[in-house]
Amino acid sequence: MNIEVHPNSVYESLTQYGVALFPPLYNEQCIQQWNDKLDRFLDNGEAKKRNYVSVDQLQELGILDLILNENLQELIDSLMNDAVLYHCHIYDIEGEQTKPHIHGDNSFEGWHRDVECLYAAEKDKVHHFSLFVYLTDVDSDNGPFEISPLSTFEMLNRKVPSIKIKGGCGTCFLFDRTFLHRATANKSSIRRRVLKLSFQNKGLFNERILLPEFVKTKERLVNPSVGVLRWFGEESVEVSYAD
Amino acid sequence: MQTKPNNRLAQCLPITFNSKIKLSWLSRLKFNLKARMQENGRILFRDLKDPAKVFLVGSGNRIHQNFLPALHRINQPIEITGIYSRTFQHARELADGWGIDAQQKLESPALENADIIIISITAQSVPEVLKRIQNFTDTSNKILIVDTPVFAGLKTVFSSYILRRFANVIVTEDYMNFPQFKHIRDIIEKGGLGQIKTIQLNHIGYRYHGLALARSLLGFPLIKSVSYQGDEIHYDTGTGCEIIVNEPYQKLNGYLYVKGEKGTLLYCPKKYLDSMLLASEGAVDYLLTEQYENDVFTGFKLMTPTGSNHFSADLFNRIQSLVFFAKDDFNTFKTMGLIEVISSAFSYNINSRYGFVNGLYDNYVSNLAYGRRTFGLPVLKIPYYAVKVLSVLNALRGSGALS
Repeated sequence: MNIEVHPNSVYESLTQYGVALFPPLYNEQCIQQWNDKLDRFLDNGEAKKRNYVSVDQLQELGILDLILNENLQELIDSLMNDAVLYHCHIYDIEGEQTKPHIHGDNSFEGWHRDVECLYAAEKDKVHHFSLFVYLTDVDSDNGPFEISPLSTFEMLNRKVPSIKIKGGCGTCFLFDRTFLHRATANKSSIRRRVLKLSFQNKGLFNERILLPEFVKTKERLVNPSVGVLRWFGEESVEVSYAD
Repeated sequence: MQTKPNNRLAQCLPITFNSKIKLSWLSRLKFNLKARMQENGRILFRDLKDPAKVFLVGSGNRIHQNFLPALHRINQPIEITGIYSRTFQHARELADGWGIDAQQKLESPALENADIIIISITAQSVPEVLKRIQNFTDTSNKILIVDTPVFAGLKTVFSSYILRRFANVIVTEDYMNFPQFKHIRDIIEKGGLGQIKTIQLNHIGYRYHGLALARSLLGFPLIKSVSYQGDEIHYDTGTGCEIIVNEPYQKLNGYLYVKGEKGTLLYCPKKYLDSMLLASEGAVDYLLTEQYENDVFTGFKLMTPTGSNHFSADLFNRIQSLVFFAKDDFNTFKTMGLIEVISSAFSYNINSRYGFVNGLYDNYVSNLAYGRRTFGLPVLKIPYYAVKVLSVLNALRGSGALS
């Protein structure tokens, strides 16, 4: 039986159900241009199980500035006023698979919570979330992302529902990384491409923001806003804390 | 080029959950048990312009020689607002010495307004004090810091449900936070030794403290089985690594040896000649030693395949400079470890992953291991799933999942 919920806001949706769906942040024309650049960029490399285009490579390709637009800043600021980036990349996964591309060999058919997150954290607050933007069409055979509204405070029983997020190129959604989620197998012959950005509160353990790819990118940002500098871990930026 | 939303918060779309997680009951049980053992703790989110108010319960040597020095040397904004002891005279003597307020009653405004409550009393008394605190004030926004092993015996351990009513519970497993062990953990985390195969604690690391230390070096795996051979207890993590503990415990008068796929490490305290001998034979890739000048500790020296580093003793010296502090090196390391533990109320560190379930777990597993050896029970590998289940059931009971 289907369970339909109508959250009042993105924040409520994210904290109550671990996922928030909303209209596209980037239009089709924009994504088509990104894909053209990405196709050319990835064409030279051999097809791997997963291809990554890191944040500094996105910057070199002229895609990053378009990703970090005002719409995105408005959205992230409404959710977390001391957000720092944890992931910022585009990746694609190979097709014709029978199991999830990540944690596919665990005992739980790929279901997992991201281990590097802070657990036993406050209910009704979000500390780690990711934004996914599908850059290819994703239906049930293209490895749709699947998530359940099971927070870290609840037990996994046989009644726990889930949603496979399907949608055309440009579909975007947010999910809380501490909720139970998985990648489903990409059974189709087409590689699935996704833009992934993860944010977490400043002060939480974040070894990734010190990686050369983030440091190099921050140094090369042109006229970044205070908000974007903060996302890249700029220490000098003053932030206020949520209640 | 981008789509401009008019009001993004109003544009949240409905969600239709149209599927169910189809996992077998065994997988679900396994998942739930595993989830409960994962204890990434919470940090204290607050505007740090206001110092965190700390209330102390207890007036014993541990408070005097570790907690109060740690609170005076921690690099975090705190204010000690009260201390309570069953014997008021003891609390007052301590309070006078450190310039804080002694409380005649536990149920005081200082307790009510506290952000952090520290309890350092006998393990048998912990449940009663926790119940009094719960009856007096709402603890959902307070962080509790409590000494290991938290509870004494299986009877009182069922009080663990009270712990779930605090915003967070930090257990003071100081030993794994000693500065020397922190340096060792850094080397392992940076991959200097590769996949760890053996951790040997030779006369160091008391029971659950030793087990906690060894597990902290490996990212807190569960113990699959345990056996003993004479004075040696062997813990098998089931991940290809064995933890060996050699008795008897002699504080730091022993050594810690770690063997990995890529290299070996020896922590060799001051006067342990056997380990010095081992080191001098070139048997290790990393050698961590304490440095002394005229019998005064000056820091740690780490010899690596590419050179040597020196770690200063600044904090060590600042703690020893406190007027009421006993100038004992082991106690100073304990206080340094305690500072790390308390810091996890403010920022993420190794202690954020070590809550009371892990504290109880190490206590059960190590005591059962030692118990079997003491009573001469068969020298066989013993699966400890029962212990795991017991620990987890306590945690679940505490979370309300079984109530």
